[in-house]
Amino acid sequence: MRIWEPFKIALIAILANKLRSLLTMLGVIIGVLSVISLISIAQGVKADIERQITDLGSNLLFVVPGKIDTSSAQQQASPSQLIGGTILTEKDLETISKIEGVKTLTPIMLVPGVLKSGEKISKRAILIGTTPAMAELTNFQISKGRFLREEDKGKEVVALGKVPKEELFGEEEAIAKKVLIGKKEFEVIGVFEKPGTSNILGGEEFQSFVTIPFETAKNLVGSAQIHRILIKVNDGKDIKEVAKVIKEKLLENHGGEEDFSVLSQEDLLNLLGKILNLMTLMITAIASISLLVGGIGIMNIMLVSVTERTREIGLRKAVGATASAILWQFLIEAIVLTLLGGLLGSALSFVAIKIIDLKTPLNPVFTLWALGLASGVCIGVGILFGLLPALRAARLDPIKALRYE
Amino acid sequence: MDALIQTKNLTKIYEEAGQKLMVLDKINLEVKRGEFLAIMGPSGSGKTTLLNILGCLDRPTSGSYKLEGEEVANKSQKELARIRNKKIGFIFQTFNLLPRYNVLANIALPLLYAKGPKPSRAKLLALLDKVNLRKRALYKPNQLSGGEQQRVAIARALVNNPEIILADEPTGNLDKKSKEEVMAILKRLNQEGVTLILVTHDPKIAKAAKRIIHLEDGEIVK
Repeated sequence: MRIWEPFKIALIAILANKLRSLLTMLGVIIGVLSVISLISIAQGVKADIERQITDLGSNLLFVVPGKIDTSSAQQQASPSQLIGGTILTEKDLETISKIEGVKTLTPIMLVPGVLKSGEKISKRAILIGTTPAMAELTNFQISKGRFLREEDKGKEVVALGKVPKEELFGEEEAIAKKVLIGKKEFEVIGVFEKPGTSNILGGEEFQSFVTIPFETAKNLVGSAQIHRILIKVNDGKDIKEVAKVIKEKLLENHGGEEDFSVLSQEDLLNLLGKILNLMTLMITAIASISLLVGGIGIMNIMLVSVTERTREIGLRKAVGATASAILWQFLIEAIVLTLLGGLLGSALSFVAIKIIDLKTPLNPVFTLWALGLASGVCIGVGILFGLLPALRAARLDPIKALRYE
Repeated sequence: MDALIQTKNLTKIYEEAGQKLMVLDKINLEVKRGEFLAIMGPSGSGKTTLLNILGCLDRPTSGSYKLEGEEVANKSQKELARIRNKKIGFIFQTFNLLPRYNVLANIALPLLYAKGPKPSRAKLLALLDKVNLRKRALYKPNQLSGGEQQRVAIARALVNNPEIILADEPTGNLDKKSKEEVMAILKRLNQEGVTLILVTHDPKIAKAAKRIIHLEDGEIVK
């Protein structure tokens, strides 16, 4: 038997029951559609987050409270670890600033409280106390007024990110207006934005910052609580080497206890990459269940097909078909059925991804490996669920099959 | 002429619910090349079982069956499939054409499982000439009369140039006119040298054969 003959037989059989074949394929179509679409969305989110971290610049280091192991897969960072307590001190700032290779640094202090202007409350505002160096470290762009300056130390002034500015003032001018943080009145001195980072997972974080001078924040809260230290390393310096020195010096400050982490952009990428890969895996596993259900539908209809075509099988055997020829014929029919479903599902997922891209803030990334995975799983499902019906067909006794009514 | 088919003490016993049923009892039969043999007998006499064993669709419980001098009683299923494909052409009472395939595709079906070069479309059409159906080459079975369908089945049986054609009640489902047409074609094929074995309980049909054997309770009585 030539190689394409079973495919021809399969297509004739599938086309003979168009509606039935389509309904059977529906399970596979939906399965493939969800696998490819969800993987693409997950990949898009991953790419967005990676881009954001890369946007920070490659010569940045972050000191955060808590020990985070980025090398071991077992110990995943928990969100609480990333926020952490506040065991970083002003002494640490001092220590780091003296290390060779450190160009500039800034503390970030999360300030509790609500940002208000009159009756309006900014819901998305993230209040932080920081220093003027922040602008250089994160590539803020001042769109109105100015950013914090050295002479603002201890003063009640605030530079607003684009998001809280719009929440409080809309299109109106904000400069020189008064806003309330808690019960204290602050004067708006500037509005900043960070173009090109608007996306769903914390992308607007920078745009939501409400920055007040570090000293002012200390007064407001009552003590210095440093949640992050952002460090920029001199160009040309080995960032890993600098990170190592920072770690050593801070260990001295902390009495030898490693209750902080020094992370580079690469470390952050690794850390998030692991979490996001886990997420992708989980999504794929969930979507694969629908493929499994589709496969059972295929098996069901193939069993019906074998029963319906009992006489045909008997005849084929009578004119010389071996059991293995019959086995292949039905196995290939099941595979063609699932592959056609997979193809339709892929085409639909392509459309779905385009729509998601256009209509939602998500930026799904269509990957070939998702397509490969889906087609591979389809062939696998076809073989797995086609085998039982095909074996049943191959084992039919030709004499009984020919007499089957 | 040499014996194409030779059986010795060919026996078939069916076992059902612990009960043994002797369907064929020590059949000794010889069929020569070019013969036209009719097997007659009442229903349940074992004539279809005998035909199935001769056609390698079934295997005897005991005894020997030589086809072209070669013992086939203990061949594997795969080898039997090869023999059915190459040496035997079947004609059934119910035609057994594939409804979704046209006439040409139906007669080409055995070629699907054959090795070696495939005959050209022209040869297939020439085969249809033998059964006077060239004009119906692209019809589907449900567009044909019963007689026409059986003629397609005859062409299909001939497509691999078999040693022998086995027909089980080939005219059982046909009207008088179609019966005559089909029998005329079978007779002509025999005159052209094809060996024919035909099972029937219709004496008029059996008369067309050169030799008739009668089966009763699994034994040849005449």
